[in-house]
Amino acid sequence: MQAFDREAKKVLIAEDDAWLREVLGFLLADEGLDAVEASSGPETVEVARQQRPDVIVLDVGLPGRSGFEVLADLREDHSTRNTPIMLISGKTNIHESGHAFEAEAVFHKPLDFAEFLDKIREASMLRDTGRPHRIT
Amino acid sequence: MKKNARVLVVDDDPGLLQALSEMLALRMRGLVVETADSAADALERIGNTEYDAVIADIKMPGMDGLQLLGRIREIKPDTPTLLITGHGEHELAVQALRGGAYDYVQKPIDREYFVSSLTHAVERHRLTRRVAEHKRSLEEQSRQLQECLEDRMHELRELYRREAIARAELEKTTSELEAARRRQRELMSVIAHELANPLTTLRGYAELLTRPKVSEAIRDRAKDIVLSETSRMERLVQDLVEDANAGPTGLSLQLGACDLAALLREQLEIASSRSRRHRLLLDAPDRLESRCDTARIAQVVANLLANAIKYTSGGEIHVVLRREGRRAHMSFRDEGPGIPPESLSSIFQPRVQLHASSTRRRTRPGGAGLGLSIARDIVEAHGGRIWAESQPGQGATFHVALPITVQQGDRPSPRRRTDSSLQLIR
Repeated sequence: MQAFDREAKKVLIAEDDAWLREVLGFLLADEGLDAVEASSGPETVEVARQQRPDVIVLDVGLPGRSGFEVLADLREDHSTRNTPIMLISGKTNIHESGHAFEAEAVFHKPLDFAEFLDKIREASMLRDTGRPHRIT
Repeated sequence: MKKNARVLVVDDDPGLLQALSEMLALRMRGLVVETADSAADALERIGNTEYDAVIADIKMPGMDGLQLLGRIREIKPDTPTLLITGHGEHELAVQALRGGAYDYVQKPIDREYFVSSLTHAVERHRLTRRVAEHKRSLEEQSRQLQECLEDRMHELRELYRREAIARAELEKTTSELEAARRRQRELMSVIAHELANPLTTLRGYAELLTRPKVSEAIRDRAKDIVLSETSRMERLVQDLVEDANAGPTGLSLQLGACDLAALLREQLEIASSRSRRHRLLLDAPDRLESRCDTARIAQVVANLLANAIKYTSGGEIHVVLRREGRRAHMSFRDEGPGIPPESLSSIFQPRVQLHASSTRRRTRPGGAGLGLSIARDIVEAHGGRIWAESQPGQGATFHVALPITVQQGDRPSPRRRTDSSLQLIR
């Protein structure tokens, strides 16, 4: 699909709304990205460890464990510590939470897809160019 | 003097009695003189009449003057009594003064002295009486003031009581208003939140459909999802209207005859047109009638079905209706990811709690909050109960138990009848 057909980049979609998850998957596929899915907090952490996605799209309002808790878990885990995370939220005041700064980017629903997909493409390339390691 | 002074002369000697009376009438103008020829007669008169002074001979047969004095002191202590003593009877005179006599007059009577002493006695008595009257009058006024004060105090206490009641009512109204306002704010925030997901999904398909190479399968899926998501938003609007109509005191129901089996068949048919990925199964008797608000119960069923469809990516949704004694039991079982145990008791709360704590998700994912909370309100308004059961990973089952009540004269609206009890709606 892509001009330089390396191994397709993998995006984890952590979103509890099945229909939203599905359409995000279609859109990422159209961008030439592979999508893996998770619908709850614990599942997200598990899938992220096993599948080593290049980018994680994380809904703040996940059942089981909230997106912020999941974010903290992912940052503590060696295998996912440096994975770029895109937070998506249905709330408008998410920036008030300090956790938002742990993420690569924060998007509000309804998403602006042009910008959202640009950001995912950009973030998915970070692994190749070498994303600076977090000092934590 | 406003009223003529009145004296009583007591003596057993009629001659002296008459002489004294005449002398007094002559010397003291306006004086009314009465006479009594014995102490007993005198006491009777004194009991009935208010005299300004009594003049009595100290020596009388039967009750003498000293004894009479004693009795007068008992019944009319204010009435001055003058005693007439014989010449040189100093001893008796002393006794008379000790016994409380106003004065004594020795025979032969010194008229000047007698008249002067009697005049003083009468004036003193009249003054005493006036003082007493004033005192009585003052006491009466004081009593009236006291009564008046007590009345005012009573009124004041009553006013305080009413004011306290009014204030309590005002506080109640204010807090109700405050709660309503808070609820409205929370509701607005819930709406914004719950519209966010379907809007994102719709926008996602809009974006997809602009791409040049979109498969036919995705186009078909887009059609389905656009329909489903718009009905989801439509339901949200309906829920909001219901919520707006409910008011602070709760729902008002329009009860009527209702066939729950037919209601479920209809709702399952509507729901099945919204998802191709789910198989909707109904296990219900041919009919099960109860008295309820048909539109509201249909809303409960629609919300539960939408919930089951929305939060499972596919599989069976098994709906069962049973009569269990005096209640109707509906259950909706899906094959989705289930509900975390800690959320089971709170999923029927409006999803507003989400905002109170940003780290704890209190309800089932994706905007079921308001729908479930309205479903609970409706079921509880019917005297029923709604609850959920779930083993994580093994789907969720929502239960609704409604009391069966039937009123004489209720005629269920005619509905299509079906033969099999287990039907595959889709």
